Amino acid sequence: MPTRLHKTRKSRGHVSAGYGRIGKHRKHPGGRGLAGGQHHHRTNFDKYHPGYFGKVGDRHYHLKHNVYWRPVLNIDKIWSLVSEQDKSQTEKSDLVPVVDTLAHGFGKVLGKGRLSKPVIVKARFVSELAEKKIKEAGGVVVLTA
Amino acid sequence: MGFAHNNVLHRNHFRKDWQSRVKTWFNQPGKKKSRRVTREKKAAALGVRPLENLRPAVRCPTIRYNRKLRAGKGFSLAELKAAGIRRKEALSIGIPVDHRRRNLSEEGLKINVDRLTAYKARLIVFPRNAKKPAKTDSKDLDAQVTRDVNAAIPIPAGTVAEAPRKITDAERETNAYRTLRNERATARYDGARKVRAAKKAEEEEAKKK
Repeated sequence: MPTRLHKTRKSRGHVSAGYGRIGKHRKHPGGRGLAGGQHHHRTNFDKYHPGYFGKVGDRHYHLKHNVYWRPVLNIDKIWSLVSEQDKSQTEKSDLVPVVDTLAHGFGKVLGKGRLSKPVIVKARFVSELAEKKIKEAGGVVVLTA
Repeated sequence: MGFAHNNVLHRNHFRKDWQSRVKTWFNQPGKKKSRRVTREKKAAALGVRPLENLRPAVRCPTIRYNRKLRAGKGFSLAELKAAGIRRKEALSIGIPVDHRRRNLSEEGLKINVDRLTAYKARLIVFPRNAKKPAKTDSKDLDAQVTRDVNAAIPIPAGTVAEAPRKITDAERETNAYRTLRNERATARYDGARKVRAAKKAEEEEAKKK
C-alpha cells in the first residue's frame, strides 16, 4: 500500500495522532510478556487461567517408567492377534488357538468389547471382566511370568 | 497490557541459541564405509577363525524387556562347568567368560549350556604342530565350516510360540484373576504374617517356661 493511502496521513498535524493525551503511546505499560500475573494482571489470570499458579500432586523421586510398563489389550482385539494359519487350523476342530499377549508386547488384558470364539489367552495380568468374558466364549486365561 | 481477554497465554521462546544445539551427521555415509572396511580388515586378519565370539543368550533387564533374549558378554562359570569346558580352555577356543554372571533359573542355564555344546560340536581346533597333533585337536580339519557364529547358533526368541491345542481341565478350573489377587495379597501381608508367626512362637516358648 502506498504511503498516500495510509491512515497516518490523516493524523499528521494532530498532537497525539489518536493515541491520547493522558494514556499516551508508551512501549510496554503493563510490563513485558506474562508479567504481573499475581499482581496487576491478577484479575485476568484468576478469571481466564485458573490453575496457572501452583502445583498439584506429590513428587515421585527417581521415577522409572519401565517399572510401570503395562500396555493394555482389550478382548475385542484378541482375535486379531491369532495368525491366519491358526485360524484356519482351528476352524473345524476342537483345537483352540493360543495367544501370547506378552509376546505381542501387552502387559494386561482388559474386558472391553466382545469375544465370540474360544481362545487360550496367555497374559501377565488380566482383569476380572476380561477373564469372565473369555471364559464365556469358551476360552481360558493362562498366566505367564 | 501484554494480554487481555480470554486468550491463550503465550509461551514463546524464539531465537534462543538454537544453533548451538543443532546436531548434524553428515559423516554418516563415511562412517558406514569405514566401519565396513574395518570389519573386512578384521575378518581377513582372523584367518579361518569365526568372525565373532559365541555369546550367551541373556534376559534383558527390567519387567518391560525381560520377555526378550539378547546376547550377553560372556558365559558364566556354572554354564561352562555344566558344558564341561574349563575356563582357560574356553578362553582359548573363542568362548568369552563372564565371572560375574549368575544363573538364577534352570531354563536360563540350559539355553546357554545348549549353545556351548552346539558350538563345541561344530568347533574345529587346528593342531599347533601339524606333525604332532594334541589329543584335543580336531581330526577332520577339512569339514564344512562357517565363520558366522551368530547365523550358525542364533540366539533363540524370548518366548516360545505355542500351536493350537485343546484346553486342559486344570486350565478351565483355575481362576487367573483370583490367583493374581491372592498372590498380591500374600506378598503384601508377607511381612505382617511373619511378624505374627514369630510373636506366636515366642509366646508359646514363654508358656512352656
